[in-house]
Amino acid sequence: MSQQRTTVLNPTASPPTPLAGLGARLSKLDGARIGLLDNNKPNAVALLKRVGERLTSDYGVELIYYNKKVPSLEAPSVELDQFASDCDAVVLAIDD
Amino acid sequence: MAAQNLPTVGLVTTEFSDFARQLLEQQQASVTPLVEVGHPVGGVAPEVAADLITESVYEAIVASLLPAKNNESDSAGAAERTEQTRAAEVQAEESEPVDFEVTGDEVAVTAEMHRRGMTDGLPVVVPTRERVDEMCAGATRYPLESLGSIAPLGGAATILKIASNAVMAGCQPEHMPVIEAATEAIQEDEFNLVGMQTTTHPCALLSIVHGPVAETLSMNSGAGCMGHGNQANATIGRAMRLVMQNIGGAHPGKTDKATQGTPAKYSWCFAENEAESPWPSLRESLGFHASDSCVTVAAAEGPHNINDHGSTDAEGVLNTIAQTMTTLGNNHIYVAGDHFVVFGPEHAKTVADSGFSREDVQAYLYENARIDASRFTPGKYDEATSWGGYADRLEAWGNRIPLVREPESFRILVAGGPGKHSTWIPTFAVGTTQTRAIQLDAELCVL
Repeated sequence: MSQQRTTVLNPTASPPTPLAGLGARLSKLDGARIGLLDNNKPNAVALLKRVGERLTSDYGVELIYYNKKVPSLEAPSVELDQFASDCDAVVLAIDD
Repeated sequence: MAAQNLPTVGLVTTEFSDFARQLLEQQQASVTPLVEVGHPVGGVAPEVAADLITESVYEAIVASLLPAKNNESDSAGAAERTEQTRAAEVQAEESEPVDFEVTGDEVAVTAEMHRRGMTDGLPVVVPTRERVDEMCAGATRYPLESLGSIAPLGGAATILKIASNAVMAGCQPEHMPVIEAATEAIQEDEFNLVGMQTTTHPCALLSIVHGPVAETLSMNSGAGCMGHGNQANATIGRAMRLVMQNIGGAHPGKTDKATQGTPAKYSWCFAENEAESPWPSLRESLGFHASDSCVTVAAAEGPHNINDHGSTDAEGVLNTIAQTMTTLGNNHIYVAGDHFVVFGPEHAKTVADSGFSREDVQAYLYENARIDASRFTPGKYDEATSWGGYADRLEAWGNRIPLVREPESFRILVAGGPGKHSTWIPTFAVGTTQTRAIQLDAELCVL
């Protein structure tokens, strides 16, 4: 085999540095306002509804529902901000 | 949600968990805990899907919303976050893509690039310093200038990186301005690049070149223009795919979640046949000047042939086109969006000779390319996502569901050579086709 050395200009690029560590947590679930964010893929709502039923039964949470309408499109930031301000925590579905 | 420091848990199926983690990292939201459920969630009865929330899944959700058991103190949590952030930064620094050396001939170097996942699977031209410098010389910007971050993973599209991928694709330096314009165009918010790159839908990047530059680059706008055999068509399309893969980070099965994909993802670029168009060029119809050169980018399904050897007038040809478009399996049923109808010159002449302008063609298709609601199963109604469901609209539509919101969404142009064939190109539709002027005359200062 040839011993020639070739320098390759790397065609890939790094993504931005990710955050690490733990996300924010609730101190307790009892009575919390839990947002359920549905990406509108088929049956996402079925999953979230079951989660909501269990959390309501076990912790008396208040449920706030948000439907993203188009799965492959980011939700409008104004709507998301409003949704976030109404919630203490969020459960979302990323599925297919 | 995580960016707002709101406690958030993501439910994700086993087949999408790696993908979700990478996207969350790119969006600076990797602190979001993910809980896996079985795959698939879709395509089963709702009660079957709901049962995927098993006791252990539910417990994981609850645990993810509450403080970790071994880490009750906020200050301890903050310290851990700081430490992990530092570790992540070091890791990111160490994994910064750097140029690398390979010992051996061109075949050995290409093999190493295959191994590193940098190719499209086909042999590439090795991007050596000399070749990339030569490619950069064809650009209209300096090598370290970035055209932005390419979704989904957000790598910076510097001219240098773009040129490296263009070399791999087999481009010539004079192709660079087209690639620069297309790279900018796909980053328009309305294009929805992150959706296009990560969807299960088989959309490829289609680049259509318009105006004088197509002739300058000897591009094919005539017979077989969507096929093989022309260097500029083949390599510009391929360069765009490599940019989207290597800078954007869209890898099949990982971040590019296309269920099956399409051969059009290797390369798809052609030029508009303006010389044989009976109508003004597409760029002029969009408001660009006759002297402008432009590139149109679209997240497109593969081309669908329209064969009509029998019709002798506009209504005949357009009826065949409308009937070809009215199928159930495309995204337009759910979200409208843009279509391309690429007329072969002979079909275009037949239609225009009947007195039909571009606007007449669009109006005809708007009225006639509609799908009778009786062809749908009820489940399809629920998938009409951007319409907000069909049920309330069927009466107004006379039970005939449109494929677009307005006639202009049918993008009409001419390409190809002799023969009685045209092409319908459906799109991803969750996003809007973009057309951008190509900057050709930049004079860079030599320092």
